[in-house]
Amino acid sequence: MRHEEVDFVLVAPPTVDERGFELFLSQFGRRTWAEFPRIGIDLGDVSFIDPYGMVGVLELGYYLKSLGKEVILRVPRSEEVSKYLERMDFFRFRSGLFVLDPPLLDLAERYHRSTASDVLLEITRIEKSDDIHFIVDRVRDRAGSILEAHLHYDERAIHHFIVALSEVCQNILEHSQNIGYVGIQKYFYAKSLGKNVVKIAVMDLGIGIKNSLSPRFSSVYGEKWSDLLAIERALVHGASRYEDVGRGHGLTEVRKFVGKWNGKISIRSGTAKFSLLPSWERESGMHTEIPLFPGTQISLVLPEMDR
Amino acid sequence: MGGSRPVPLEGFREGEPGAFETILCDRRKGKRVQCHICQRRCVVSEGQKGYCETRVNRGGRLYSLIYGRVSTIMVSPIEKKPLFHYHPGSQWLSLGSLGCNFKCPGCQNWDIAHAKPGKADRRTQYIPPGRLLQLAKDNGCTGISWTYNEPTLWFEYTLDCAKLAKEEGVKTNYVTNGFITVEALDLIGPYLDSFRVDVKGFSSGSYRRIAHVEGFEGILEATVMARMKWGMHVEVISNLIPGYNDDIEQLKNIAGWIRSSLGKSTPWHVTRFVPHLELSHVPPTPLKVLETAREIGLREGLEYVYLGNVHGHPAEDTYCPRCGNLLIQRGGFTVLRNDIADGRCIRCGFSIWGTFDS
Repeated sequence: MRHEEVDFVLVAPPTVDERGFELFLSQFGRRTWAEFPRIGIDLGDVSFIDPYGMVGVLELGYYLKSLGKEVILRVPRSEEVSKYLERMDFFRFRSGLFVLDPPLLDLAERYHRSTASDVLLEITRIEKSDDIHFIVDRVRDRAGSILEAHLHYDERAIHHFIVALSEVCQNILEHSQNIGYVGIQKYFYAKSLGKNVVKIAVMDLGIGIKNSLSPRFSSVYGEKWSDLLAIERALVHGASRYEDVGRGHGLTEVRKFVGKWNGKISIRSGTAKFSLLPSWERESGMHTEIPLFPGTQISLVLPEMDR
Repeated sequence: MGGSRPVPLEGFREGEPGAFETILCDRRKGKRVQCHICQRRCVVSEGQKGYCETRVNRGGRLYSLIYGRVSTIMVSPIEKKPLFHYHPGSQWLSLGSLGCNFKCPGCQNWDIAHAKPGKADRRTQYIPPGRLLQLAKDNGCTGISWTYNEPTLWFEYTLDCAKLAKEEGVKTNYVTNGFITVEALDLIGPYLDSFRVDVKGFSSGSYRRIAHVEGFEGILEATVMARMKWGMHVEVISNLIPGYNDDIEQLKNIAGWIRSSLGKSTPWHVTRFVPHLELSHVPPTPLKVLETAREIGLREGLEYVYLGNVHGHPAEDTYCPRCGNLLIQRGGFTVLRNDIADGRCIRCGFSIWGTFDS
């Protein structure tokens, strides 16, 4: 991609995970997307990307497209990274979102595919209510086998989690009023844990948690009503936009599960991010005034159980 | 130097208005009660008081002995808290009661913080919340600051006053050690505007020696919640006591935590220790140590690091992080010059973190 061919280029850092995605967005600063008709997304230097990163890039592309932008995506120079993106079905969804640079993906060989891979759930788009049973089944089957094979969770725990995760996916259709994506991958997390972990990313481009809850809560909190407070209400207190009993359990059930298994959950919405952190993760649990991005982005990290 | 002035209190009653039943407590077996206002979470037996000695168990119910009982009340500048980035130069109705949940051996306010309610050696006056608001307005104050002793001790009173203040458009402030529980913070969070918190060190050992408490993580958590969840204006202070909390490792850790958890624009006040009480044998903090702490803070990425109790030092002033322009010049607690317009440096236009009236 020649920089003169686009009006603005977002250059991805070498690692595109939760933190990398923030670095990515922060390049835009206070500028408005409306200023630039042609925007480049440069993944050229990327050496690692996880489900959160790739789903985030897809959401970014979808969002820019919805604003009428032309988006040129420079693919990673690392063939390993491109192969991984291809294996996760990233390029399957790029049609209509990005113009690829170079236009053809030239991979010497592709990863061996198995429709029942036990280490990942390819990126899955959540779009229409017709899809939801298929998607929930797929998430259930694949996530279940990953949790069992690599994290050694028992059957009851897996069932508990899958029900909660499925509800989160359904929330995308019910509450966000827009499309979403989910992706899952197993890793060995050497840094501070020395264990297998499963990373799960669920994102949508909807109205966001604050807007969703505003009809019930904005008058209660007045000037203090914020994205962070809304996320906290939803995640910790099970707040729902509906007053009837039984609502708002999806996220709180996921939270309980993640807490029980010493995992991590982060939710980003609007200009805030709220995380519940395990002992092995040393970072701040609350962030505000981060770059505005539409919808809700959820990251779950579940560690392997001690045997 | 801008000092404090006493508030005339004609017509106010002295003595006890009657014990006030507390909130945020659990009843336990045998008429015991657990208090959840501060992180000590005292379990109080019938007839006994909690660690702070301001809450008493009578018949299996917990009562505050200091609701509305004011030991000290003054009108003083916000710079005295210190809050340097929140309505600089404004006057605040500042008040305290009795007692503390820490027992700092070098406490500068020991005569009220270590005093016990009901003892004859310290008189208090009862000021109901409505009258407190009126006093703030009558004295031309921007806000009300609960200071001099730990504000969470008379939590119920500060909560009632803060609710009224929010309705009346009067700002509010806690000068606190941050030992408040998450539950209490969530109750007052919607109404409290600013939070000047003391971070006395960055190790359990330091907190044990300085404040007689085990663990300090809860203080950090409460501070992050005040800033992030409740959107309060937060500034941090660390009083450096030679040999207690002035080692480079702790200073780096405090500065690093402020930057990563509260944001690089959060002001950090590093103040000189003055020998007092049980720490009379400890020398005052050398200026060199304070200046080193400031350098550490700036090197860790903080934009505003101030020195305190060193009147006349240039590090009492506010400079633009981008162009270095002197923005707010202070003389003691008085603002001598303020070159922030619409929240920005008048020279380069850089946005200065905080709330400025100019």
